[in-house]
Amino acid sequence: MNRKQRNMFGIGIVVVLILFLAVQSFSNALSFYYEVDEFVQKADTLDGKIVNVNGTILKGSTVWVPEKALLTFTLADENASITVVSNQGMPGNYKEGIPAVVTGIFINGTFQANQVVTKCPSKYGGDLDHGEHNET
Amino acid sequence: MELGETTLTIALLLSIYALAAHIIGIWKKKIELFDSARIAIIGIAVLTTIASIWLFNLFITRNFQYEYVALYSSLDLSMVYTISAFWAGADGSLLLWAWLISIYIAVIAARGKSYDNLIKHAMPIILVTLAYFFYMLLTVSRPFRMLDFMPVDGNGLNPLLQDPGMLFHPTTLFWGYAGVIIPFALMIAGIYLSDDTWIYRARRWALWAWLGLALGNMFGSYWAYTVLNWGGFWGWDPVENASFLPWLTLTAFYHSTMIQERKGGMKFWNILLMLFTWELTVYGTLLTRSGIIASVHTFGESVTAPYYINYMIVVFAATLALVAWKYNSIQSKKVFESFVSREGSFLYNNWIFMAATASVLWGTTYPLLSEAFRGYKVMVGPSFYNQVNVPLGIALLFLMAICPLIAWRKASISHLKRNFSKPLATALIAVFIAFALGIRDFYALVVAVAGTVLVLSTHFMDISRIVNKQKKLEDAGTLKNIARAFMNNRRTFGGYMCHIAILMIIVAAAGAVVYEQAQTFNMRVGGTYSVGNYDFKLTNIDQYARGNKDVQAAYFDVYKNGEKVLANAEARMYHYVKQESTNVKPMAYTVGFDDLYFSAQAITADSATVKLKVMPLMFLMWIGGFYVLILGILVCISTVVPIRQRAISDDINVNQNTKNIITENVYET
Repeated sequence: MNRKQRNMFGIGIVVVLILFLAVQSFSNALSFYYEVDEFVQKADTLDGKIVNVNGTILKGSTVWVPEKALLTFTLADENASITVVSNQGMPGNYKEGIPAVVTGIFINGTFQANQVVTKCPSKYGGDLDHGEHNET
Repeated sequence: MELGETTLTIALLLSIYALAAHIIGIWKKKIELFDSARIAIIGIAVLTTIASIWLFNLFITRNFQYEYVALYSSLDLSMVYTISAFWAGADGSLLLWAWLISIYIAVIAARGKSYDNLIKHAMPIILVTLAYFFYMLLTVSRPFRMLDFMPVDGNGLNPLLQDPGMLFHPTTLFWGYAGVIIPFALMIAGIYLSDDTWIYRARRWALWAWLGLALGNMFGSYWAYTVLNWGGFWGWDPVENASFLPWLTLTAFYHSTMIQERKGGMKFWNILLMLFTWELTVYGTLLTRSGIIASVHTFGESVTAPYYINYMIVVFAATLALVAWKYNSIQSKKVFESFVSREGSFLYNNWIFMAATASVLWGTTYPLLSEAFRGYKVMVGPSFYNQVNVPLGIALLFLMAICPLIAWRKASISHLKRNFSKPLATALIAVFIAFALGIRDFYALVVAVAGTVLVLSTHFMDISRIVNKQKKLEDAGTLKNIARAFMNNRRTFGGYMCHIAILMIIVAAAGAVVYEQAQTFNMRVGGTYSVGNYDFKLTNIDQYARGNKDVQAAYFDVYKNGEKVLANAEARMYHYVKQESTNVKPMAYTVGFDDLYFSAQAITADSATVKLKVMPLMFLMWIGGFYVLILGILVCISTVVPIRQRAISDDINVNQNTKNIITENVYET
């Protein structure tokens, strides 16, 4: 092996090593993302893995215990619903009836969320208040 | 017809005219056509400015008959955020983008004497893009769309956007986004004309765009830190990544252009980097403004996404076709003689930036690909980005320490010994001292101490070398020598200031991540709670109305070793009446070297649940990222003014390559 080949060989090893580590950390950082009904079907097979579940915060379901910063609500879609518990305080922009993504694990029938993310900040907008509906 | 759309329609027609005038002017060699085209370009800027002022006016007068105004503002919104609601949505953002591009090209068109052949060939690329944006603003992304009824009130601005960050983050980012197209267009013209001088011409605009992108990212980071309650300054959110990507490739580009300027190498690579930068800029807009990131399923609903994607595909294909056609004229000279050389350090720099780009791009895009092709959605957590990019950042730090002193072409062993023995010895001594003082953490020792000392000492040595050179030439006293050396080597000095700024950011990030102490307490008024060396006493809880929101505040006095260091620090929660939503407002206070960070989770009449954090060295991030970085770039950009004593300048392409100086001065736009 001449000098150039040796250098290339060294660089090659470094590149392969970096790639290997990147792939490793990528697969560890990957978590599944379900709709509520998909999640309910698969909940038993998840085995304590951290997952993300997307749904809508059901109106009238919020129980907020400020003394403990404990938030409980129902996350639902058209076909299914789950109870979500979070002790991370009030998530930003929290509001009933809007979509949210919860991240956490499923234990004994409740979803223990370590993160609750409500509808994305840059996509506000929504339905407008029509004048004729104003009196209702 | 409505004023906004009328002006945009005329602007569209003018840009088509200017485009045709350029093409015919080049083809038939009719010089007089360019004069009228330049007037048309200035006209476009005037019209887009009128349209933008009109949109501001619609917001200020709260004209909710305009759908965009109704969607993003409301009667109770304070005036400053009503004005900044301009760019709260996709349509206004596109208008802002087009507005800035039109101003940039008007500046170029107004300075007639530099309107040379390269610019004439570059301008059609920008005009096509601008016309395309105007077309979108009139058809699919209409800020001036009117409703057939008058809403009683608007929906209001997302509470998270009601922050001073909203004024600066989008505007600086789009200043960068708009700036990127100019070097890109110059590059296309350069390939077409086989004219390598595009690289000098592009430099200043690339720097201008880079400053915008850097500030945009810094403001975004500061916003995340003080408003979004993500718990830190960077969360690797897809939206953040979208603005980070073009910054990475543009930084790589700015470094590798130096190899092309000085040695005529890496030509093809520079073309690729510029292409990536512009593509990633459009991709960033696609990600953040079309709703595609929430789910590719919204792709069908998003009207604008196909427009951005089509544009990206056309740009990509056209550029590659052009490169293939002109391939013979972009052959680089062979520049790499040794892996241990200045050239080598530039090459590694590019590899590191490309690796970072690849990892961030992959992590951001993979969820979309997974959903589109494999049918299930996934999320990529921050751990992936950190595990890949932290080592890359450390490698970059040490590369930064080497680059000022390593020899061009090939560094011999004796050269390495001569240049690096002092900095290495200083760094070793610093590590020993730090170790003796009780610092044991690997990151703190290697990154913060060794890395910092190495970078500072090599940069200092190079600066003193330049000053000595000045002294030998004409000794006018130490201060004057330094001032003159600075004036004559502004590009080098400015670049070094940017290095120091990046060093400050890396050290702050490392300090905050490694030494961050955080704890959540369930507190009662009168109680004292400790985190690290600090004691936090909850003194009072209050509730008051402020503008369109109710504020709940918990007040703290903070003690360190029994001494009061901070009084009446607040942890806040905002309740927005209109949106019926409650938001945490994290508060950060700088005390000595530490940032004390209060993030309330719940506040009642006599108790509060608050997460308290102590983050060391955070102030370095803001000082470095805002002040030092801006100053450094401005110093670099100031090389616009001709450098007087070129003969002794160390700036690349000034001292070494006279031919380049001439081309630079003749062709700088």
